[in-house]
Amino acid sequence: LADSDKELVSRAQAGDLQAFDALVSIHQARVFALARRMLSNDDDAADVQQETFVRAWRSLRKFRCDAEFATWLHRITVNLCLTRRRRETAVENSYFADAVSGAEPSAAAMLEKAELAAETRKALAEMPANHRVLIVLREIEGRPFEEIARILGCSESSARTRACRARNMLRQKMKPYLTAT
Amino acid sequence: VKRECDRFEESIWEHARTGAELTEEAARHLGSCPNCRRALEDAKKLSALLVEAGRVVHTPDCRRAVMARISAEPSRQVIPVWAYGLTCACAIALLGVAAIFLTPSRELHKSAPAPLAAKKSACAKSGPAPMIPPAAVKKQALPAQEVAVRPARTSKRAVQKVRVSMVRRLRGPRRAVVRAGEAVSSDRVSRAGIQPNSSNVQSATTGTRPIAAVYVTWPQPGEPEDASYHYVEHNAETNETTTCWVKRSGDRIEIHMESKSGGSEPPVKGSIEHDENTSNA
Repeated sequence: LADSDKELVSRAQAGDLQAFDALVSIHQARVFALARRMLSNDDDAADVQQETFVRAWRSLRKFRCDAEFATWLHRITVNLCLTRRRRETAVENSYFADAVSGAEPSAAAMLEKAELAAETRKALAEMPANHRVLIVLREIEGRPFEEIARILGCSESSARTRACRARNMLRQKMKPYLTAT
Repeated sequence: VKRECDRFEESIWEHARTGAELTEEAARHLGSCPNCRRALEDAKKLSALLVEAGRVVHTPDCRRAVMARISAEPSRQVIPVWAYGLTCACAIALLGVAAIFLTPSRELHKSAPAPLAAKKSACAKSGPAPMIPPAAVKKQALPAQEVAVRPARTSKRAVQKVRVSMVRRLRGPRRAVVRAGEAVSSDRVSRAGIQPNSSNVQSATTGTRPIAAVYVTWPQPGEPEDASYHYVEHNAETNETTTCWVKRSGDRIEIHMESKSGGSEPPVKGSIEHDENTSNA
């Protein structure tokens, strides 16, 4: 995938729109997933998904192929999400409605699972954006710290420390649900 | 003890998330530390919850919108690296030429009294000395004047360039925005590749309540010039659903909207006829 990325990137850098279209096709799902996990609703995530690729196109000439295109793209996504999260003032109610509506109302276990997932999302939404991003990248997406450091533009040890703080914060927020289950 | 526990925090979470085996040292520590055992239990529960919470079911396809926005942008010229070098070399050469032209004029000004002094001494010795005529002085100072007027010429060219780029932008994909109220964020508008301004924004009056917002951009890649389509937009802030039918024919666009609130209120209907010739004028 990385090799085909390189070829497509170099073609896109030369102005080939079809190559860039192919890059969008390959990476759009992961970009949206990352944005959705960082933000509170689908609309905002879709906005970020689109904006990520437009910005990537604008600064494609600055991209050097020594880094992975996906990592570079995810860095743009995270930066856009962090900027947007700073503007968000409250957690949107529709977010929980989305999470619960996906469950079967007849199945109590499913509902409970969906409710717990909603509570987890709520706890994540309440966390500061710079902590939340660590939970998303490390605990949900399971990325290595080396890549997280490149995405966030910080050192690996700093990423580890921040992840540790973020996990403790999440654990504190979810304490009532952890002891109950 | 806390510091000792911190050392194993990462491997506890790694184990909880992936099921990776704990190191012997970590396993030994867990055996003797009730806090870390509780942390491992919590980490396992949280990891499972995070997987559930982070599940993304539906991914929108943004290719079409991205490509439309990219195509609408002014074309980028790919400038090779050697061109930058050549430009720098030309700039240095120009500066050199300018310096050459400027230097004689300075000398001319400095040495201007010299002919007079020469004249005086020559008069004292052997009658009037040949004077440099004023026309000749002007002729020698001319290159300096040329250099002085150059910035003005450059700025004229720059203005022309700006005009050309504006024309090119107007020739790009035609678009129109119809908006009422402030329900839609500027981000949403920019997502459609539209910068709202007085020429492309028209207010919509639809009876008692304002319609949330509507934006239209056309033609999309692969879309025929004369296209009709409709879409539904839900506004989370007002819980209002707007259905919009767009019919485009030549330079004329007709937009019919029906807006329905989340409550039991009857739908509000409205229609707008948007003439591109008048809006872009």
